[in-house]
Parts: sequence; structure tokens; C-alpha cells
Amino acid sequence: MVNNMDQTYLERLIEFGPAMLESLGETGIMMVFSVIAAILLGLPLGTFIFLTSKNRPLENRGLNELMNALVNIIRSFPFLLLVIVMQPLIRTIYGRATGDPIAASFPMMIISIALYARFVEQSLLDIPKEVTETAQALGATIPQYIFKFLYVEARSSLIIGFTTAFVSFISYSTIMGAVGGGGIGDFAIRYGYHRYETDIMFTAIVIIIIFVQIIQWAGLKLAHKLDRK
Amino acid sequence: MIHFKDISKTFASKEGAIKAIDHLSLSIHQNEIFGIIGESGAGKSTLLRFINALETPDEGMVEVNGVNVQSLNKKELRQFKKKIGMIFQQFNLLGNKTVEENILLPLELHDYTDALDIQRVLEFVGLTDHKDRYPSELSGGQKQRVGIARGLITRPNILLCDEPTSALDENTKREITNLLARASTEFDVTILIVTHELDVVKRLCERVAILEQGKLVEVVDVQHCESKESLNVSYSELAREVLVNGQ
Repeated sequence: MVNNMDQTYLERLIEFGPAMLESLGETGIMMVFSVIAAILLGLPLGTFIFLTSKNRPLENRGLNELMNALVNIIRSFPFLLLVIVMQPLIRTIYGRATGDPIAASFPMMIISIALYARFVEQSLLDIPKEVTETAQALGATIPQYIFKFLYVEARSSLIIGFTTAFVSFISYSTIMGAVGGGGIGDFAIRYGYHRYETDIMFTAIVIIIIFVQIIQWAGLKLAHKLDRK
Repeated sequence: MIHFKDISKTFASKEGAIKAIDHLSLSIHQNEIFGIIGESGAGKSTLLRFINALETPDEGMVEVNGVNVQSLNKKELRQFKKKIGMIFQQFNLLGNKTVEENILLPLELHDYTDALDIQRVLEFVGLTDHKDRYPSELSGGQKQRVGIARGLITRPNILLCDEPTSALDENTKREITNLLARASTEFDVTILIVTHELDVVKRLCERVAILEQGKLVEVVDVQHCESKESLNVSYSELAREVLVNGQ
């Protein structure tokens, strides 16, 4: 693998292609973990923050402020520092803190939960109060209120929020490269920064941009399709 | 059937405490269409919301069919609400559900053994051809018909109507009023209607309570009052004149 200026772009792409694909695969692993965490934990956390806020069915000022503070701290934490701070914990849980995309997924999951929880809360706050009034008048339980009223009315907003969060997850995943977490950020640093393989780095960036565009387009399309209001 | 016994309710606001209901006692009979009128802020909606526990009085007791509403725990309250329908000024439909799904919503929340058939309800409100439409595709009157259908599908004992015609034009108002009158006889349901529109009261109600600043001024037997004209005014002084004196 020689950096030969006479090599054509195609030849260089063929040479570095497998490494790029491997990096994209690692980013994919981080994204899968982030998405699962956002849906399984971020969605309920955002819903719970909404439900415990003032004049909501589970109003609890203490709990609400605690969860709000937690989400704010995580979101305002510089991500690279969060990654470093979490190293001992990740090592305890997983055995190693860096060097593979699964280890790198831990801080990704934490930021995904906090980020999407805030999007969810905002989406639910946009629902007219009449929806809550109707649920109460009809004697809905809290789970019924959540699944048959809130999520039904907020579904397109939840999808748009998820799409936006997903794009941020990709951005966060590139930072993992700085601490040897693999992924496309790691690829860019190794080939674009250390080895001046600029065209290869830009190829990786274009692939990510296309991917983000597809996700954004699909998310908006789905959201518009589901929005009947 | 419904008894308010010396109830009071105070709300806190930035300007201080506001007495919404002030030592009010009132009884409503089974199967009657009962109006509650008064100025804005007179406590009409608060009074209505005591019945299905959307609000709780600070003092006094609300009794519905012999049940003290305040004594019910959460589970009992859910059961209790099964048989109380409610329709709202802003219709309160779920925008992402079709007409049919909106009407069937109460049946998704509770088990009903005697619910009405969806076709019958759709026919009753005249929306059979609109069942697959979404609320955004309906007029105000059609939306309120969906609200009424949702309120009736459970075969409620009581139908609470909170300003059901306030957002509608004159013709539609008349249609909705007629529909509620038909619902009363066809489904044996007691109807309580909060409104500030005297023509709606005169057309629909048998008796009406006039509220002023949270106090019950009087209960008027509407059908035995004479009125020379249909009015659309909103304060109780004039209401008394129109309903009692027929001027």
C-alpha cells in the first residue's frame, strides 16, 4: 500500500475501499446501538419527563427536575470529555474502553438517550392540551394515554425528531475516532489527517452526506405520510 | 340523579385566589336536558367538570346516581367514567385518527358489553360516508358530530356538553342542537350543556341554572318561559330577563 501520486483515483479507491467499508461498518454498529438506546430508553425518558412536568398526569417536581438536570448535563457535556470520563466505567462493564465499535457505543448510547429524550419531550409538549383533557374525560390509564393519545398525535414529530437525532448520532460517532473507537471518523483521521489521502477522505465524507440525506429524506417522507392533522 | 351539595372551588392565580364556585347546591333530574349559563368566568365549565372528576371541589359533595364522586379511587373512577360522555367546544378529536377511529376510541379504553354499533352511531350523526376521513377534512359541524358520536357510542347515562356550539355558525348550531335533542330521546341520556348562547338554551333545555361569579342565581324552567326573539347574548342579567320575563 504505497501512496503513489501517479495512482488513479479508482486505483486508490480499490486499494483503500476495504478499509473504508470496514470503517463504515463500525459506524453502522455504533449507530445500531445508539438507535436502540434512543428508542428503548430515550423515548420513555422523554415521555416520563413530560408526564412529571407541571399540570401533567404524573406531576412530580423533584423527579422532573432531577431527570431534566441529568439530560441537560449529558447534552451540555463536551462529547469527547464524556467519552474520556466514561472510560473506567466502560472498561468495568465491557473489559476494554477503546479499540472496537462496541466499546465506542457506550458513550454513544448515553448521548443518544439524552438527545432523543429531549426531542421526545418537546414533541409531546406541542400536543394541544385538549388531547390530555379528552384522555382524562374518557378515563384513560397512563399507558393508554401514552400509546393511544400522545404517541398517536405526536408520531410525525417524534419521527422528525428521531431523524434529526440520528444525524447528530453520526456526527458524534466520528468523534469516537479520536480515541481509537473506529468508524468513519477514525478512518478520516488515519487516512485524511495522518496520511494526506484527501480524496479518499472526501469520498468517505460524500458517502456519509449521501447517507444522511437519505435518512433525512426518508424520515421527513414518513413523517408527512403519517401526519393527518 | 346529579346532586351538587354545597360545593366550592377556589383556583390559585397570579392575581390571587379566584373563587370559581361558591357554596353551590343544585340537582339535575334523570333524562332531562339541563343548561348551565352565565358570563365568562362564572364557573360553568368548572361545575360541569365536577361530574366526571376533571375538577374536584374543595368543599361539598358531588353525587351522581347515588355515588359520591370524590370518594372513588382511581380504578373506581375509571369505571365511573365509562358511562359519562363528554363533548367539547373545540371538538377534541385526535387529528391522526379517522372519524371511525375517533368514535371507537372509548371502546379501546374500556370493555363495554352494551356499546352501540358503529354503523348506528354513524347513521345517527349523518357521517356514514365520512367514516374514513380525518378531522382536518371535516367542517366544524361535522367535527362536532364526530364528538357527539364518540360521546354516545358507549351508551352513556350522562352526556356533558361544554360549549358545544360556540365555535359554530348559526345553521350548524341549529343542526347540532337538534342532534342533541334527538340524542336525549333516542338514547335516554341526561344532557348537561354549558353555554353562553341563550337561543341554544331556549331551543334545547328544559331547565337552566344561571351562574354569577360562582354562585347559583336561580334555576329557570325554560319551557315555561316566553321569549319573543332568539338572542345570542352572554350575560346572566339579560338571561334572566329573556328567560323569565320573555323580553
